[in-house]
Parts: sequence; structure tokens; C-alpha cells
Amino acid sequence: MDFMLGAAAAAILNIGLLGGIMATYVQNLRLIKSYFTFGLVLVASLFIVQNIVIVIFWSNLYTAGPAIQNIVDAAAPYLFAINSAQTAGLGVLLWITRK
Amino acid sequence: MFEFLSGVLGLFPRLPTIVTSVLASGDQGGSGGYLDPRFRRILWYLIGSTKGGVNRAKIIDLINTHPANANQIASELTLDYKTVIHHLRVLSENGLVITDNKESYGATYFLTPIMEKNYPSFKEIMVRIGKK
Repeated sequence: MDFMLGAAAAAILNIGLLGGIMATYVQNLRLIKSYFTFGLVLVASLFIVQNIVIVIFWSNLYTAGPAIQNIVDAAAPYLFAINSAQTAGLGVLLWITRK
Repeated sequence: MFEFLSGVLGLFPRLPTIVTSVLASGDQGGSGGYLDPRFRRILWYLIGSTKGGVNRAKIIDLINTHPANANQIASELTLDYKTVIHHLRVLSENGLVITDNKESYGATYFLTPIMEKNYPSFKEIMVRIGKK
């Protein structure tokens, strides 16, 4: 259960980090219109979509009831690891982007 | 599955040839010199994906016309002195500009040889920026 909440928290944090990254990317796209700047905005947008889907997915599993509780509990640590790794990666990317 | 794996593994002996052909496929510079596509990507990242990238591009453009110190750059581009110092540090750390004396207040900044050699790649970005 804790891992599940942790994974959801990491996904929400990822959306915040991506918002910060996206702000810089959009500012640059307005100044430099190229395949590169457009591509960065597209990639960041898709990552935001990914994390929103993860949050929806986990909220659905959370409310699914005891029928699949064992599966959810077994999968939660892995999703927590995946989302946490992404949080660390996005944190570094935001730091580089704002430097 | 096995065919896919053997196909991927079969690429390894040819890897040096593939890398060489990829690097050799880069554009040729205006002076006929070889433009490094890896350096071009670094330029795009430093200018196109970071906060203040456009100001960094303007600083490189100015230093190309005439080497200058931070104070001259700040006044010519009407930028804050501390902002210019920050950008010069980032550009210097990434090997795009170099100075004769980093500690000196009036240290003059120049383009590094690799930046000069790959200047046409930078001009490509400047064209996109235009007069903004």
C-alpha cells in the first residue's frame, strides 16, 4: 500500500517537474522555431501524458477492491522504482535546463 | 526472436564502419571544413533547450565579431552584468568560449578553436533566432 501511494506521489511530482521543463521549452520554441525546439516540447508533452495516465491507472487499481489486491501489492514496488527513477532523471534534466 | 538477436549481434563487427560513415555524413562547412554533428547537437542543446539560451547565442555571436570582456558584452547586449558572467561560465564549462585570465575582472573572452571550426552550425541556429 505504501509503495502504491509512493508511486502515485512520484508520478504527481514528475508532472510538476515536467511542467517546469516544459515552461522553458515553450519559451525557447517561441524564440527559436525549429524541429529541435518543437521536438523537445512534444517529448515533454508525451511524458506529461504518460504520468497522468499512470495516476489514473493507479487510482483505478486503488479503488478496484480486494479482488486484485494481491496483484496490485506485488506490482507496486516495481512501479514505485520506475516512477522514482524517472523523478530523479527529470530532476537532473530540470536542473540542467534551468542552469 | 533468434533471427532478430543474431541480426543485432551481427552489427557489432561493423560498428566502427557504421560510426565512421555516420560522422562522415555531416555537412561540410562554408570554408570546406568538416562540421562535427555531435558538436552541432551540443549547440542545439545549450541554446535551444536551456533557460537563457538565446542570450548565450547572442553572446557567442558578439564574441565572434570581436573578442570582448563581460562588461563590454553586458553593455553592448544591454544585459545584466551578473547574467553575462553566468552565461560566460556555462559557455566556458562547455568548451564554447575561452578566456586569457578567468580571475581577472576585465578578462577577454574568445571563441574556442572547435567553436570557430563549427561556426556554420551556430549560424544555422542564429538564422532561426533572427533579430529577436
